[in-house]
Amino acid sequence: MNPNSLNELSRRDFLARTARTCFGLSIAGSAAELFSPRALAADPAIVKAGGGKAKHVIYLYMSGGMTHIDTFDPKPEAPADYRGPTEAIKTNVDGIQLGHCLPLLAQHMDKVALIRSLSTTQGAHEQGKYLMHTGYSQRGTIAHPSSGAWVSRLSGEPQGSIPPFVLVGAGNRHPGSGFFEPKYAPLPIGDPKTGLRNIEKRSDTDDASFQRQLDLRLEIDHDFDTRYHPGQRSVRAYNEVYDSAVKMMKSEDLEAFDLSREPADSRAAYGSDRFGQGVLLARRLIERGVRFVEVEYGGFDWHADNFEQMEEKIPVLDQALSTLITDLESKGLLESTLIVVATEFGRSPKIVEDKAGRNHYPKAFSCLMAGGGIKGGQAYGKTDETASNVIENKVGAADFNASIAFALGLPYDLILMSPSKRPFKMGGKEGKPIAQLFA
Amino acid sequence: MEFHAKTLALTLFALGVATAPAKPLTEKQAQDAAARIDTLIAADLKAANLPPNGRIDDGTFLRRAYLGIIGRIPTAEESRAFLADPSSMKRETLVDALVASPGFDSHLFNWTADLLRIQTEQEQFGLGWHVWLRKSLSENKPWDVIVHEMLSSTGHASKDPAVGYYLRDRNMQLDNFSNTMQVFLGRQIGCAQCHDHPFDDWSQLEYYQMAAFGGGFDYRSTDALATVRKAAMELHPERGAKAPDSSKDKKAKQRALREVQNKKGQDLKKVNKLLQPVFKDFNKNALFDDPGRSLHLPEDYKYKDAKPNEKIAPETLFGAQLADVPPEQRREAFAKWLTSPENPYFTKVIANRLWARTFGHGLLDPVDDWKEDSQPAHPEVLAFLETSMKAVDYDLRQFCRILFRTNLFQRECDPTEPESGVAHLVRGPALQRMSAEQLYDSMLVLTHGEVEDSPLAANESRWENYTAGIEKILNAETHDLVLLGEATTQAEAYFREAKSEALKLRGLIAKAKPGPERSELYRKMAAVQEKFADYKRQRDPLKMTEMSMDSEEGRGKRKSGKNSSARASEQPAPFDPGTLVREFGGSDRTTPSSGDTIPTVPQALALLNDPNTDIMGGKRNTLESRLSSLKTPEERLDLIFLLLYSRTPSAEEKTRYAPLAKDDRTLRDLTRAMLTSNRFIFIQ
Repeated sequence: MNPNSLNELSRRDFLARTARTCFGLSIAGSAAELFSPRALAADPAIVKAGGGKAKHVIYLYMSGGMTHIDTFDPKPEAPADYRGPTEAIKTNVDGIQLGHCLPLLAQHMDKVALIRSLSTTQGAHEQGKYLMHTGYSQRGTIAHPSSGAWVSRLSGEPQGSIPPFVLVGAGNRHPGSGFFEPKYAPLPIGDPKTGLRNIEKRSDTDDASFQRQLDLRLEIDHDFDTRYHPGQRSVRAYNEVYDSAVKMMKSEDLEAFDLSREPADSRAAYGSDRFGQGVLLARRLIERGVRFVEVEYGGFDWHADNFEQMEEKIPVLDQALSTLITDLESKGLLESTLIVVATEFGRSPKIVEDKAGRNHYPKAFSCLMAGGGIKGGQAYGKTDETASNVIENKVGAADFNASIAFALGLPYDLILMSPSKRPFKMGGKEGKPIAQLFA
Repeated sequence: MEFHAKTLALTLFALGVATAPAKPLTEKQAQDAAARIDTLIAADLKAANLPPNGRIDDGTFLRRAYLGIIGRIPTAEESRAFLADPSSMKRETLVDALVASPGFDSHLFNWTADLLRIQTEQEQFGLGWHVWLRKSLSENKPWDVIVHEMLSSTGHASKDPAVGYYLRDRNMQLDNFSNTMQVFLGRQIGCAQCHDHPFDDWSQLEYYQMAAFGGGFDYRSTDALATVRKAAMELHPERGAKAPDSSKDKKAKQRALREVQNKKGQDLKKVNKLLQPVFKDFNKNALFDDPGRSLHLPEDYKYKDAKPNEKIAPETLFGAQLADVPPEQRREAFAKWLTSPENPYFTKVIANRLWARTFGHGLLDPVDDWKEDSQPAHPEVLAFLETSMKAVDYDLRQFCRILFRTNLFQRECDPTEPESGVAHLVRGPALQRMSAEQLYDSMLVLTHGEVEDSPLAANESRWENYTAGIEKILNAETHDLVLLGEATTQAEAYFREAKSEALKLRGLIAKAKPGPERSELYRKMAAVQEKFADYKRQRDPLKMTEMSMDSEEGRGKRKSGKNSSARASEQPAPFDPGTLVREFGGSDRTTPSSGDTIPTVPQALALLNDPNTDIMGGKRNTLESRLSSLKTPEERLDLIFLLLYSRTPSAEEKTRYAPLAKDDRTLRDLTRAMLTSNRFIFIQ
């Protein structure tokens, strides 16, 4: 090989090849063509059916399994060994009650649709989280994409300098982009208070030095990339994340990640903890066009001391969620932003006596949607007198995700093939959107 | 016993030795076992008409061996020594040296602690469990013994730190049980916790029968209770007195008896309240296996094979049958059953997990989802691994040594990633990205030039201080306990006072105008904060006992617990969100083996811009000064190639990059570019 062979020409040639490998061979190329011309435009059939009003999703995930009977589905008439000390409070909608730790949300009930009839068969955290996020049961042979990745994927080529899917405060094992190409992977923000870090060049580095670094990086990887780039997703992904990182460093929208730019009152209104600040970050991001922001709030696994823990944790959700609704409304963004509160399962309605705890309970649990074209003031589905069994309008994880797609006007039933040539849909195998949720 | 004898014979045959293998294996034993694996793989590849991958060069091997065996890149000196060694056996020699070194323990600890979800700062037992596992692996404690000790553990963590395994999931016994089955036996039966398993033949009843071996779990300290009882006796000696039996009146006698009992109860309550602040953390750090308790079916049990809320007797459902176990022996029996060489899954699950760790993909994938009809790749290799694991008596160091000594470990990586969940023939290792901990430890090599691989003494002494404190409290005179109880109660009250005072001051500061008024408030605040810290220490009974019995030296030791040059294994885990380790997928320690290597934008930003990853700047860094002491650009280029890629540059690379090494600025850009390169972060 000519010692100067790693010159501009061959590198450009290599880059072109890289691009072809990344984009040309990506799965279901036809879908990209389908959507890119009218990216973000809702499917007319869905719009006609009442969906398609949302442009953004703020997806709040209560990790660990949130107790339904103490929050969204209180049962004041249930025996004391089910109800515990939880009281049901009135909301601004006649006939709908909430647990007493949600007094602020109660004032927004007219904008909220509770879904009280979720039911799955996954009683373990990891499998339950996976099912709720992807609409599919976990299998060793395939990595299903999460709803955020589906939304990015179905929305066509990612636009703008911030990735379309941002994931705030999540633990490991989030399904992320699943089998989709890495560009649909979420941008993870570990701690919303520190936001996106390292976005400034080092103080001793000027533009020329920085560019030289980037060029040298590709050049020195030439042989490595030639060997591994085509067959290794992870290697392709690293080249892509460096491109995205550099693009983001130049972005005009980075101030979205800087919560200190938010007025002190507004910061305080969301709550000073990590979750509240994460919800605020989500609002700032969707204002700048981010499609899907997921914020995780962990620590709902109350096998013991359910009622003490509840008094600490639920008010945090109550404050952040109510502030979000008010805030979006005042900014005129509530109609175009779907708010989702989800969790992997509920808690056993019968209290574990000696521990005052509740165990995992996938058979009946509750989630919530608001904004984004959702018809507020309703409780969809019903459980029996002890919140133990769904007796009306059962909803599965796939239906839930299909409804998110529907709110955005995205085709929940469009089949995309995995690299192993198997068909998958955002709405899972047989998920159907819940029509009654939409105005 | 027939099975066992056969196994042993097979083992000895397989290892080519006439007598039971020595511990550690002799070089010949290790080499023969490795060769056997290569032979079996070669035969399978030949039958499928697939050629094996080519042999990697010395530089690639060196880097793979250091990262794979001891979890970090080699120092420049270590690389030079290996590359210059003319011996034809130098790869084998290196493998043996690395496997025997303390770095092996550090690296294996990260992997095992992730599998077990150890959270170092969980109550106090977390640290004890961390230290215990770290030590167990260093001391070659066999895997079956490690698991057995955890599964049969009981009592307070200060006496039996392996009990962390159960305390980790306090009040979540069933979740803990599901994990036990998945982690050690590769069986996913968690679904059956709520309903009959849809794919496998596990029923909910069977799930409960297995889980019933842990049916007596009660999360409290009996030692603490005994000490409180003793104190109550001493403080209220009349407690021991019997009801007066002088009265013939039966009713009066009963009344008197009731009164005594009531008084006893009240006295105990009083003493309990008095001593509560002293013992408040004991129950969070202890497990009591109550023989009187049993597991019951859920109240909403819906199948016909049993009744809701029915008491369940423990029973094993595969492997050796175990039934009618008396409650006192439940967990010991279960631990023995699970870790037995005759358990149909225990041995092959750990063998396959270590294979996947070494070569990037399990012979069965995923490694934690075994079914009765699972079809692994290279079944004969797997069978041989199982045999070898038994032959080395579950010594993980010796088992890994066999794997690292194979020719397979010296083959090129596959250009294509293995498909998950699919058994495929092994032509070479899978390309792996460095784990977050491998990256963290390698950064230490780059910034410090050398790394301490041995365990940090500070962790151990912190734990020793704690256990000594517990011991002291349990053996304290009642009089001292009461004083301690009063003091901590008082400190708690002061602590709360200081806290609300600080809150008030903060409000005032926010309103105050800058100037003397605010300065005065700041002064007040500083005083409150000092008090705050004092009370915080004093309300902790252990800190109080430490203060009375410890010298300054003891406290000094604890301070050194934070050591920026210590390896990842010596730091409390999980790392905080947003740290380098977490950005690169370091485990959050919530689910077994949750560490990942998924590429993200913040990772790229961290290596491009984070001051902490800048190997060419910063006060602590040695690289820049080492480079400036070198005279020629070629020498400098050699050094950065040795450090980052564990090899010297090729002739082409020399021609291309030596000119960049002439100038400080371009040399810096080149070095930083190398840190961000795929060649660095991936292990070929």
